[in-house]
Amino acid sequence: MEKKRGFIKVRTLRHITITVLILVVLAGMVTTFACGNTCSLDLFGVSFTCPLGFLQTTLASRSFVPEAWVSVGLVVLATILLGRFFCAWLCPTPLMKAFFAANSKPKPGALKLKSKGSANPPSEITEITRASRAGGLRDILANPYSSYAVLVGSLASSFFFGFPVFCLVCPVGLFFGSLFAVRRLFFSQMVTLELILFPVILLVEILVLKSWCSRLCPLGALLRIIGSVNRRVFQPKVNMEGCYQEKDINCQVCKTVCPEGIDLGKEGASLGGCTNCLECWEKCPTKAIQWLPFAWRRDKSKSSM
Amino acid sequence: MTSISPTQPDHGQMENRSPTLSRRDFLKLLIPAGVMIGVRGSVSFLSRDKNFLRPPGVLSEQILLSLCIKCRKCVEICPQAIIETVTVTEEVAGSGTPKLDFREGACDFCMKCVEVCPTGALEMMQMEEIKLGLAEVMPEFCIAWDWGSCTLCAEVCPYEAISLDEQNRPVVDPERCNGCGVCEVQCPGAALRSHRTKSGRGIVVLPVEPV
Repeated sequence: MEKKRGFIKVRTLRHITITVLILVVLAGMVTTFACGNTCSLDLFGVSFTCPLGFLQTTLASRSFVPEAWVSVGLVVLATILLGRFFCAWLCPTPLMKAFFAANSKPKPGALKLKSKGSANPPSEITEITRASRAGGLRDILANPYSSYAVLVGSLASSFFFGFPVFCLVCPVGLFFGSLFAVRRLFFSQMVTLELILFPVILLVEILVLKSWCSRLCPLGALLRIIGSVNRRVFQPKVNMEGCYQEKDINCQVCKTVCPEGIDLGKEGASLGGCTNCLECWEKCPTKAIQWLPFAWRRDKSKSSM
Repeated sequence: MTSISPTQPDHGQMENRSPTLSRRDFLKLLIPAGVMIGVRGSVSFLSRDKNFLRPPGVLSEQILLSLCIKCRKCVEICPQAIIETVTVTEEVAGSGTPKLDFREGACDFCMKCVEVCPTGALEMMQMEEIKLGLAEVMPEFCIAWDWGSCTLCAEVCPYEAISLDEQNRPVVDPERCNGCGVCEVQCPGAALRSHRTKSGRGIVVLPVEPV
């Protein structure tokens, strides 16, 4: 059922990179190799630190935290070049979702209306109905601006309470915190509440807050803001010669497979949230989507953003 | 799925429309998010009352709490394996921040933890300035106190901060002691008294009052 482009599915490749990262972190945890984890990672003599953690500490400590500038700067630079690639290729959350939640891709805001009539009401009425019910969890999950609200909330509470508040519930932190709790069990023979508490909070975040990655994660929101600065280097681009839309066939494959719900076929599609997961690249029926920089120079190639 | 799907009405594809989020809607999103995080933060804030033994390089509890992102690199890199993290049951706000545990090792001030800290929560300091804590004798567990003849802590202290009084009981010099923990890890009090229901080390390093 799944179409392959190349010798391996990109979904498998993404899971492999995340697993390799987790194994490297685990190796560092049980030896004095000590590479850290994705909150702050030391590899090949270079340090990478979470930009959300950094922002929270600047606000919590009311200082500039110059010690972190280089390690955060590297992450910012990589995000400017590659967009939210961390979300698709390095973050453990999508891997956990693959294990525990079957299909957690958010539907693009559509509600199932109990239509008493025969046909679906026109979209304007749908919009009005949505607006009058706004505020429910489902609406929050459907709204892409929710993640910005969580980001603002995390930063504000860090400022207010004087410590990085979001780090306590961040799924990345909780994931590696759970691994540390297991390490502690074996290294110091200590049973801690984190052994149960962290996985429970993680499961809530994965199963209940299903569209965490695209609709709620403040780190994702921050990376989206950073990645929107300059995105011409690595991003999916449609070669309109091959695209079905050009031939008036309404193919919605790229939009359907995109975990962020981005419609590449549309004029002026916003690629700020693109995680470079390469699903659209793989699944396009005419292989009209290119990703590498040299694809730019094709004639009539439609570059977005 | 590689089949071409039929035309779908564009239900609220807000990503590709110009933002039309009203101020009211934004507040409606902000308020639940803010409440969630606010409640969490205030619970944490209110439970911040403990005082822990911290690794070298901590200027103050407040600075450590504000800068620590709980990356746990210090825990991993310590060659003596004496750094552990505060658990959620000990303190919610500071959970995940590093603390010292002298059960199986002592601090030799190699400062690797300080070098590896990404945000400067642990800051490089001169050794003379560092005071991890103060050693305190526990009379109920100290062997020299009721049996006499144990002089181990006074012998092993690298900074000659422990002396023996007239009854050969250890006395700590607060000026010289920097809380390295060698006396605590070497003390045989817990082992030799393990037949009792409650045993512990005869000398332990306790956190000093915050500056």
